[in-house]
Amino acid sequence: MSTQRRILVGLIFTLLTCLTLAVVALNDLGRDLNLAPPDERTAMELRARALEGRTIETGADLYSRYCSNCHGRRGEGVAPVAPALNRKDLFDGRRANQVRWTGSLESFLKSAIVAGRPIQSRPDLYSARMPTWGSEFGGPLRADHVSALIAFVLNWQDQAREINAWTLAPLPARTPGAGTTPGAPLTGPARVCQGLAAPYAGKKSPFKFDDKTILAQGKQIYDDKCTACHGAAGKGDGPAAAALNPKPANLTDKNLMQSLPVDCQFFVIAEGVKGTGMPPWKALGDDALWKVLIYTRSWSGVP
Amino acid sequence: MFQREERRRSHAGERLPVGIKNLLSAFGDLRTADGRTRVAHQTRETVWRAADEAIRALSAGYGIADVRALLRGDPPIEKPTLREQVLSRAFWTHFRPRTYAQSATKFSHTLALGFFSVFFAFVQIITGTLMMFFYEPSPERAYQSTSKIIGQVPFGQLIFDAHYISANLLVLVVGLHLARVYLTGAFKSPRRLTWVIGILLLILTLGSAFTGSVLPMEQSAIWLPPDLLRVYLLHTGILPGLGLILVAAHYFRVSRLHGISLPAGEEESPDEIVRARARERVNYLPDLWARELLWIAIALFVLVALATFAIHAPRASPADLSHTPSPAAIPWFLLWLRGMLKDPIVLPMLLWLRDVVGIDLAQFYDSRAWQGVILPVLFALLLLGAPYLDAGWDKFWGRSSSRLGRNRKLGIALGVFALLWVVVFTYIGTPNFPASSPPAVAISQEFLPDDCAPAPLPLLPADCGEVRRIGYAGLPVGTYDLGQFAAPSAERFPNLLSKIQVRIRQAAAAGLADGRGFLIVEDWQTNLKKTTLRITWTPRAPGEPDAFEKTIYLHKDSAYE
Repeated sequence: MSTQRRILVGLIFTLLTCLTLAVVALNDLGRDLNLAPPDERTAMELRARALEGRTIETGADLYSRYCSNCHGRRGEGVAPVAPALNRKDLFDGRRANQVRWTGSLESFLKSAIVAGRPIQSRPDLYSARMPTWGSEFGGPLRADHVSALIAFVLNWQDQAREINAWTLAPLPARTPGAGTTPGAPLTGPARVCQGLAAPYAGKKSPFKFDDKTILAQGKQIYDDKCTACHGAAGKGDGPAAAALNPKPANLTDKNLMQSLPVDCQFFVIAEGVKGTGMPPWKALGDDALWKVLIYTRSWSGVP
Repeated sequence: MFQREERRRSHAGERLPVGIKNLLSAFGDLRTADGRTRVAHQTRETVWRAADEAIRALSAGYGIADVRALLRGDPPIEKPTLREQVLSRAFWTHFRPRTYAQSATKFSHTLALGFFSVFFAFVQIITGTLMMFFYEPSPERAYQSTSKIIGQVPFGQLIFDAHYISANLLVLVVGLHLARVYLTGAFKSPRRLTWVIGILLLILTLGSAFTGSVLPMEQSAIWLPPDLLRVYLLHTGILPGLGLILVAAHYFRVSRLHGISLPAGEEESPDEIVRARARERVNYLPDLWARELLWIAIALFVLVALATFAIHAPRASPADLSHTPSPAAIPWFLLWLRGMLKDPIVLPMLLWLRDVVGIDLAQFYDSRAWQGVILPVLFALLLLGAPYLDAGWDKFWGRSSSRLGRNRKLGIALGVFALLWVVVFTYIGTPNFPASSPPAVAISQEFLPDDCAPAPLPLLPADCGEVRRIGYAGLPVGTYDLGQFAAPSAERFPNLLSKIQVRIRQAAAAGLADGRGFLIVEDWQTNLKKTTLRITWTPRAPGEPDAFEKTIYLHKDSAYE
């Protein structure tokens, strides 16, 4: 090929490159340059929306792993544990007003997720205290995870329902005593079992402790409900554990399990432990609780 | 028209204002026909001279006549030729040699692989620098700032994709360059050190490509400690900086010290005429120069067109350190490393040796330090030392060094073996080998993977799973018993159900006895659907798991390919 022809062909290709760049410019900037109809979405906007959509997907996944145990799978709340999230008063500003929040809804959610609640706002209604989820406060979630979670929660806006639980009842006067003091040193079976009474005292399992079917069913319930805090192997090291104080119990600890009678453990699972992250699970029914109990005790081998 | 004598005069100091002064003084003669001719002549000459000066300033010394001769392919006009001076006197052009050996410029000999390595490296530097204006190197901000580059910056996706595409092509071209140089024996003395520098550049290229794949803080970032800033500094400063220095040394040795290697057949030809013709010099300007410009124009167009119309860098979900996806993402050019960690070839042999003969090497061999660190370092040393080992081998047999293929059969065989080895271990490193996960997990992973898995080959789109490809709009809400969708269908969704059903049935022997599958599509939120695949089966023994469930969420706008 002669030099002239090379230059000619090179020029043609350079022209083609410029044309392609013009296509990109139209895609990205068509509306800014008044070259595209104002109601049509530019390719860049479509990309931005696609990425937003994927952020919501990430948020949904994070929610199912970290939040759904207490706030409900679809944000409907778990009655005695934690409030609903897909509620109208969260989105129309009533809730933020109530706690004297002056920032945006997004920042309200962010503060609640990242920093948790140092003091429970409604200990009379909900047993669990919102832990600190942000990694800057020792939790498992990075800032971008938190934004994804917020994007997911905000996406409930159109479907939010009117719920009156906390807007109507006035805040009760704070009474000193067990359960309302945050971070009370409630470790050790002796303290936990203090409130053990009928109908829990002396309760016995209807199942055998070495029944393989029961163990398998117990594992299924445990994997679904308990791993977030207690960890898949029961060592108290689940992904949510970092945010909790006091820490979830290490269920594989032989000493701990020996000093924890079966009826007391059942009581703990059913009623939860006030002042800690352990919620009451009695809504699952006695049989389910026994199965979980049997499964957790299989690690330490203490019947 | 513009004679050499006059040109010299113009160089001797007659500057533009003087020309204009002469012109003004001639205006008095406009009344006569002679005077008008003279003024016209002088005007033309003044304008010509000014244009000539301007062209000389732009072209580092060439006048108009010489530029024209250059473009027409005519021999140079001015003597001594400025065409050669420009290659020794001007900074940007002095990098290039004035002449090349004729036979080394054949495209079929080098395939211009070194040229294109440099080209793609420059594309990397330019697009990378542009992205540095928007990227934020902290684990919290990295993912979002990358999204911003793609979704909010004009030309952002083009730049992001061009960086991704040319990075892949760079790794590919550098690999081919290595193979070409090895197979043609160009690494032999006197170019041994050039080869060593080249291997160092290969390592830098792989390092840059790997650190670059981590920066968007996608799932593949779980391979690194959470200190993104250091990775960022490596990727944007240290590795390219070292690369530039080494490229300079590499290129200097190629262009000035030894020249590009000649085709071995011509260099070692018994025919003296062939040898002499191979060494004949051809000028860099203008033919070779125009050829390079043409390559650049074509490559640039292909790159921009690919980035605009064909290939978009895959975007996975943000890294979550508490949640290792299966299989963990790994770029294609490092699959061979993971293949070695899996190793189905040597380890079983060593285990056999231990059990049957009693020599226990397996314990040492089967450690991460050996397979992940020591062995790769040994490979790198082997590559670095290849020219010296090769020379030692020739010396040992008392042979003179030859680049001809027929004189180095062992070397070629070893090279081909190494190539096959890389291909085989790359295949072993892909997630589908060996199928280690239980069948229900593998089936879920195939249709609803945790994340988009990068393709095992360069530049192919990531596999986000069939369910994501069908997308929000194509998934009707409902609970589907896959048993009722056994036959393939022309429609996409029923066909997906039948595909899953077929897989479940195929896995019956592998552990899914009486396997049943259900796909549950729920409206989960505004514009968000939840898709769950549940597989149940009869366990082999009581107490073993009998069901598996996998869930992904799909948003209306999240366009997966």
